[in-house]
Amino acid sequence: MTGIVEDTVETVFVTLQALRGTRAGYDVNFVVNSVVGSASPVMFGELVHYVHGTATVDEDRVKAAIASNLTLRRQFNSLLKNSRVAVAASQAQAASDEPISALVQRKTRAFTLLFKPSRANADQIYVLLTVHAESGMVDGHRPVIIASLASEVGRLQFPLLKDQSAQLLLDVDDQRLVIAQNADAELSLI
Amino acid sequence: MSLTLYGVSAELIAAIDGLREAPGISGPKYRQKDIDNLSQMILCRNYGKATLELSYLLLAILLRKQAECKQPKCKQPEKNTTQKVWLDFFWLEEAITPKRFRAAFDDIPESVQSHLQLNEQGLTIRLSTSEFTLSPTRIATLASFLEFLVYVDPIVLQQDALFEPSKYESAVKTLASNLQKILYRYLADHLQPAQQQRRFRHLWAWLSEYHKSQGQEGNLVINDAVILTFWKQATEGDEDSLGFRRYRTVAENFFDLRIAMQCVEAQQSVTHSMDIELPPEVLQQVLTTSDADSLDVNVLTKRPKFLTKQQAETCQPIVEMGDTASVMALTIMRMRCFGDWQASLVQALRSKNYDHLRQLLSDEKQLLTYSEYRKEITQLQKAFEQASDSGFHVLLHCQVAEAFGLVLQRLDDVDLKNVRKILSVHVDGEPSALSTEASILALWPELLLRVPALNHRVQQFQKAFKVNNRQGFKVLPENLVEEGYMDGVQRLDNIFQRCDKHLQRLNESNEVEYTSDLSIFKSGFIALYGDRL
Repeated sequence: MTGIVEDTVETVFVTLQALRGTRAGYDVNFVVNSVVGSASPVMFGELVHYVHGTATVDEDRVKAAIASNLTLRRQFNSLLKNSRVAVAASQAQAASDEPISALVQRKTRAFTLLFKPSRANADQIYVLLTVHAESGMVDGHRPVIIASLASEVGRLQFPLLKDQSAQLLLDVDDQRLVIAQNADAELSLI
Repeated sequence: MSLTLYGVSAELIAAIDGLREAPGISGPKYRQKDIDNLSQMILCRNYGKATLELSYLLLAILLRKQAECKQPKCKQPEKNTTQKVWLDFFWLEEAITPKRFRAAFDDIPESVQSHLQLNEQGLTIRLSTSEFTLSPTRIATLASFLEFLVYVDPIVLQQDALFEPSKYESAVKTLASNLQKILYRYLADHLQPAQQQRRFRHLWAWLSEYHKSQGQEGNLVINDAVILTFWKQATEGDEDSLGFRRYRTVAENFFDLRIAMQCVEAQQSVTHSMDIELPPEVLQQVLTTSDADSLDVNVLTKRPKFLTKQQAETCQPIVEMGDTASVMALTIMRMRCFGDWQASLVQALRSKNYDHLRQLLSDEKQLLTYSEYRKEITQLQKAFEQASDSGFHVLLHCQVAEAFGLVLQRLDDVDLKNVRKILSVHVDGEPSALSTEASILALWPELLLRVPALNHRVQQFQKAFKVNNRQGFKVLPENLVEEGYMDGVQRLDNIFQRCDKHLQRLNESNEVEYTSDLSIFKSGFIALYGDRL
């Protein structure tokens, strides 16, 4: 091992390209950049599985791509619109000097999401999902809640529904929980 | 070695890699073979049939779903958009393996049985005037193709307006055509042009065959002799869809192919170096394999006008070809001497001026000979020197510090030693122009007095400036934009070097070669155009 980090290698290529300039056609640098290349993009299938929770995906990679790639963001929004069975719109809060506290419950006609602190551990919160008849969901389905803010997205993937409900135990500072409890976040049930 | 990956953008490679790693409901979604098929289809631009297959498949899925939703047991008949239906089929149900595909069409609703039928060969789609059978083993490749298309243009999944009942036949054709357009547009930015791809394939195949016949299999060298042999053969054939009867086209494509081969070699070296974790310095050496940096001559024809347009045009092939101009100097010279001849023959043929064509073919005296060509380039070099001298006069007059250093670099060792003594700069090797700029500027009048060679040079600059009447050199500018002059003299120096290398290589060839080449080209041209006389 020489201990060379990939960044150093990339810097060499970038510097070389800057020094030698780009040729009108294809040149050695062009090919080298192709070889070094960027990481593979998030493809549509990965996005579908992220939204539906149907396969294991690299959640951070998908979230980063949604936040930085406009085309993918549009695809994500369109997918969400077409796939969700219910939505809890962001709750506009009246202006107040009081600090905004996290919500304890999000309720729609199709589902209710309850955030309940754990008695055993004060640093943990139970997220209880109850689906109602209007959602059309039946026991055995693996529900997903996508919480989306303008700047970021969080995904809560629940275990199989049993008696029309499912629950998760999360740390209080878990980013997914923070987003879901944010009144500005729109929640989609999938 | 293979040229398949030459000219493919990093984005396209990354997208195909993305599909290779695409997750599925139970492990990776696609098999290696599916993506190999897909990449072959895309990189070879062989996707016409696949777009039609995919369009039929999309129609079949839609027909089945629509029929299912007309049945009373359907839960959400109103939400059947094309996006939702295809999303379910390809990504959520993932009915893309032969087994799952057959299972998905196992129970075709009665209302569409006239259109869809599952049989041993696969799924047959019957429309009013056509019938199409989809093989279940092709579905995974088609699914990856669809995913690639969605990556290129997400609108692909939204085709609700297209699929109207009773218009399925035209919808399939329109969709296939639209998909082709999307891909064509995308590949224009991410793949080498189709014509170049075809030409490369042809040259590559010929080159392999040629070297095999010469007993040098695996050593695909491109040189002057190879190019001439190829062209001679091209003049004998009847078919010319790739335009290889033109010597210039042949030569230019061989030059490009040579660069492509260098690129592929560099690509392999870099991949190998990264695999074995070579330090960045070594990688840098791997990259410094080709002297192919671009050098735009035309800049020198603008203000300040160092060169005339004609001078720039004459040296352009030598300059823009990079190291090829010295490696295959003879071909460059042949392009100028015989390529121009062929161009006027073609022009006469196009305008159906057969008398002129006959005259051109018989009158060899008007041709530029090899010695005349060499003379032309030598004269051009003198013109470069004159133009450069004028530029230096302007720069020295305006006391551009950097220029003083450049002038000193042009002195020979003895004179440079004297300059060093005067400047009292004692350094090993070449003096550093940057570090001594201030002292040079201060001691310049003294340097001119005590170093005659330098004085002579400066007077030469002045003379060159006086006879130069081009834009930017008529009078000494008051508010000098020094970049233009500085860039000009440096650019001219580079061009001079390239022409020099080119000429050095040419000196090896002689006039006897011209006579034999003349005979070869003349017989080639007579074979091509003689029957019109």
